[in-house]
Amino acid sequence: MPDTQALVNDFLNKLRKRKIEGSQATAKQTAELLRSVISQTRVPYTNRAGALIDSLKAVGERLIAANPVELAVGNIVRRVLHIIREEDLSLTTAAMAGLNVSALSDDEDGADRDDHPVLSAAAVAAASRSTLRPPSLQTLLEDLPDSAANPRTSSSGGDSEGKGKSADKSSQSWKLKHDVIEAVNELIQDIDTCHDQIAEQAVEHIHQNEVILTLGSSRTVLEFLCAAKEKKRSFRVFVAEGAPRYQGHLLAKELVTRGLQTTLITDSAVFAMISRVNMVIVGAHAIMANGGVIAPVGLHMVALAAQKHAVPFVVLAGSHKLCPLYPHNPEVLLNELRSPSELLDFGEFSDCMDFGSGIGAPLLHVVNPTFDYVPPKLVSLFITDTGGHNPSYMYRLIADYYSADDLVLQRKPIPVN
Amino acid sequence: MDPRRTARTVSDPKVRQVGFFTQPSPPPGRSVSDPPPHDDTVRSLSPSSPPVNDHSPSGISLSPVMIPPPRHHSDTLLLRTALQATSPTTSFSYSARTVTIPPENEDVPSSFSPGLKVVSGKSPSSFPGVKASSVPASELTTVSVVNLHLVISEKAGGASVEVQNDQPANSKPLKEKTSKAERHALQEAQRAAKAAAKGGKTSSTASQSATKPSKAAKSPSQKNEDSQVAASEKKRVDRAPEKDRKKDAPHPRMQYDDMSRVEKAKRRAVVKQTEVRNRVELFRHLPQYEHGTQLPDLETKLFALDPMHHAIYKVGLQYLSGDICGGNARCIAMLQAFKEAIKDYSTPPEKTLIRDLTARISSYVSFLIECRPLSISMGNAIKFLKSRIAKLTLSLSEPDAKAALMLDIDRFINEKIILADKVIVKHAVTKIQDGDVLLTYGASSAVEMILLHAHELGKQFRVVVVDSRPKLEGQLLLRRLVRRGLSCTYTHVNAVSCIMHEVTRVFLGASSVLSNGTVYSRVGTACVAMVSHAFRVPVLVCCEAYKFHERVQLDSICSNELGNPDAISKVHGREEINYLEGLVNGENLQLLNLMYDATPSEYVSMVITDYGMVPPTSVPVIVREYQREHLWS
Repeated sequence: MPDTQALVNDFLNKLRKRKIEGSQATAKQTAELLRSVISQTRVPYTNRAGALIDSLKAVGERLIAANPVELAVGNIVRRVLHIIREEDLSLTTAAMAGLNVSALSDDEDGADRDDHPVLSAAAVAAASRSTLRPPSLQTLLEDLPDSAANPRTSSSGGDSEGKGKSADKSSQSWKLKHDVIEAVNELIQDIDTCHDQIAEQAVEHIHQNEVILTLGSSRTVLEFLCAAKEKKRSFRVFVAEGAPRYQGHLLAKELVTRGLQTTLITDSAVFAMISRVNMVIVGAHAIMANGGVIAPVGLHMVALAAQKHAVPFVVLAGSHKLCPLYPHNPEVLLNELRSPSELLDFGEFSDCMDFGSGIGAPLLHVVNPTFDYVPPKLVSLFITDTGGHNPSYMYRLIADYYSADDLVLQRKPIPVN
Repeated sequence: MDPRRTARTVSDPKVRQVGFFTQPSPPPGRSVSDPPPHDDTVRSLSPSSPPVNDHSPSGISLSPVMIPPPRHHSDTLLLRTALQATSPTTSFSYSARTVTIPPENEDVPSSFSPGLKVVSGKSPSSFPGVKASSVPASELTTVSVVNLHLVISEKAGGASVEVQNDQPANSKPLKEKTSKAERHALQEAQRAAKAAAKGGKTSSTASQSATKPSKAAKSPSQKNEDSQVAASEKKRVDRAPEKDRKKDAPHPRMQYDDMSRVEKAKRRAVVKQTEVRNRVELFRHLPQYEHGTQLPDLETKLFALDPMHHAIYKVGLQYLSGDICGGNARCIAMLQAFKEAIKDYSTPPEKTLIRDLTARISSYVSFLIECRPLSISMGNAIKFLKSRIAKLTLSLSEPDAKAALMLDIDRFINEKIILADKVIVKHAVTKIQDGDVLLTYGASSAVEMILLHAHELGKQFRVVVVDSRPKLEGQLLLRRLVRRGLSCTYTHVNAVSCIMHEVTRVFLGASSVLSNGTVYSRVGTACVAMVSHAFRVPVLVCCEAYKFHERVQLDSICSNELGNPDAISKVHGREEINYLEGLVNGENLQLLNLMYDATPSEYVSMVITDYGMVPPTSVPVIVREYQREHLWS
């Protein structure tokens, strides 16, 4: 499949060069890429889902390695994997039901099939429990035939069908792919519309004469505020400019053109102003499983100030930003240092540097991180497209979207390139 | 002096109350306005004037706040010269454009009339306040007393040591003799004398104040007889400070949402400010003017304006254009301009110097306020100068009075700013260890001196300079530090929580420390202090004690200064960020350029000041014990 390969490589390059801005765009493009990968993948007759999953995992691994900090890529890969598993499961349960019916109706070859359906039915039941439900103690206990059933459902289904009519095979395999692609399309649509769904909830959270503070620019925040404005709420917004990218200017411009009372402040004035603010509403880069937020740089400071003044700190995020991983040392490991030229002009300090002497280490370092980690205790509320949630509830939400098997995508160490 | 006592002076409320008593009049022998060449003659003369001599030792021995051995003028001079000698190594860069301090005493008339000596010695306004509070005060703060003394005597080159030593020697026995009640009575009497001196300023007070202290000096020996008098006096005297205190309570500032007052002020104004179109609603009480528009207009007026002295005018323009910024630099520039103005001042006929000069200074000040709101440190300096003018006696001839005032100003600059910074550096350097990572925000002159000095001492440490828009003062500091070979890391204020993991100490400068411990400083300081607090990194605020103020403040809204809003919409060096170009005059957009913010005291681990290293809760103590003393004594 040279064309998918080219697509993947193209996307990899874009990710590596950080050409794609924003997690929403990344998520959408990832989903589209995976959709084309799925449609191009030739599915064998046996173990169809397994083959799909394997090929997706291979692609996903490379995508994640291309930009490990952009968690949306990994999220989407995992969600697509989850979709495949679910579709496959529903297909097999449907097939099982059909098979059982057929087994009852004609039992000429029931002899060799006799034990198979029973076992696979049990496996299906267990699998359905383990995938549809989040992991719990009960499913752990029930999960006996899991090791056998890993290629299980599909293989047993495939086997049983392989013994059945061969005309059915192609339609079945076509159906799986079709269903998966349908579901991925739905996912893409979800990503597209998450702003609207979040914005719908705006009126429930913003009241008249509210003073809202935000930092930097986020499209979700913009839509959220505008939705409240359209509902005839009048309130004022403080926008911190969000150095070093100064996206706050952009947000302020958008808000002003839509008729909102906007005040632009410097980031350093956040602490001074927060005592007069009723609510902090910000966007996020990613939400971790513990409810912590990977957010644009500066938000930790804002969150601390909000906590000091008991101002609610509300994070808006589409569900594609939910990451099933738990953060470890996120300030370092999930961060990215951008170019120093955003802080100091190129060559501005070159006269102060003396590379000729000493150990050659420059006296001056410039640190320009992209993200902050906001611990869950500083967040008052998450508003996602499925409603408002507490930080402590995030792991449950994540269990709805991801299957536990996919959490670790890298099975082998990534080659350094 | 013994440490137990000193500690008590600070903590014991009973003794602290004594601190309100203005300081006993210093002996004339110590009158600091004496030109240095005359010192010896004065000292030799002083025993020959009996009443004065009689009163002086007791005055010293009974000082309420442990007046440290008053140093002689000569040793301050020595100190000063020593300071100047060392200054090249530790650069005093108060801003990018450093204000140079002219050599002291250059315009002091070569001879003083003896009358001046007596008067200035008795008049409570002469230097001991400054002196006493600048050096000895550190004894009270219980931190590194010995250290400081060593430092000073070291610098003074031994010459001052003997002067210091002989004083406590003869004052101690006297102190032991007097009981508490006696001291109390004596202080009451002295206060009465002071109050009388103050009240009778217009009449010639020389004889009055000369007799009263002498009576006071006698009183301890015959306390039983005097107790009645003291009691009756007490009533009268108690009321006086009460009134004083009321007067001292900080005036409510000009509120710019008060239309009538604003109109009135506008009519008087020299600088015609135009108001910003889109005022920020929350800050209606602060002046919001357009920046840059008034400068050309003012420049044309430079020669037309008669009453304004050219030096004042120049400084005002420099404030307006932002050429001078930074608390110390602004204060020094203002005081230098006042000095110039006083030098060229001549009393108009049929007016008295005291009143006319005060009015003149007031008009200068209001001009400066129009250019840029005063900082608290400048307010304190003006208060000092005015009190000095008020304390001048009428019998003083005009050149003498002017010389005294100019000397006062120089002394204020030297002792309250330059020497104070030296002491702060000495203290703060002890808190820097090898391997430290020090974070600083913006560009504070005190912090810069500390870092450079620590580097000179060979300490191995790294500096993190945190900066923020729109002033980007950190870049200037960064440049100066990197030039000197310090290893630096530069980042912006948003990234402070990313960098805070590796930081071991945070040094911050301050524009002012208010008496509830709130640190009023460049906007963003509060953010940095808050993040440091969250990461459990100690925050050390370096601030000279003359910047302390008794005002209290809880937030950054009620009083603040607004900078040029245009600086917000344009990002320096980033032309691609011009989203707001056409919208600046739009209706809904407001640009807010706050200049300062208030850091709550809970984020501050320690305030390093010229009186030592104290917790922020001790700030009101310093304000109470010393500020008053040096301003009003």
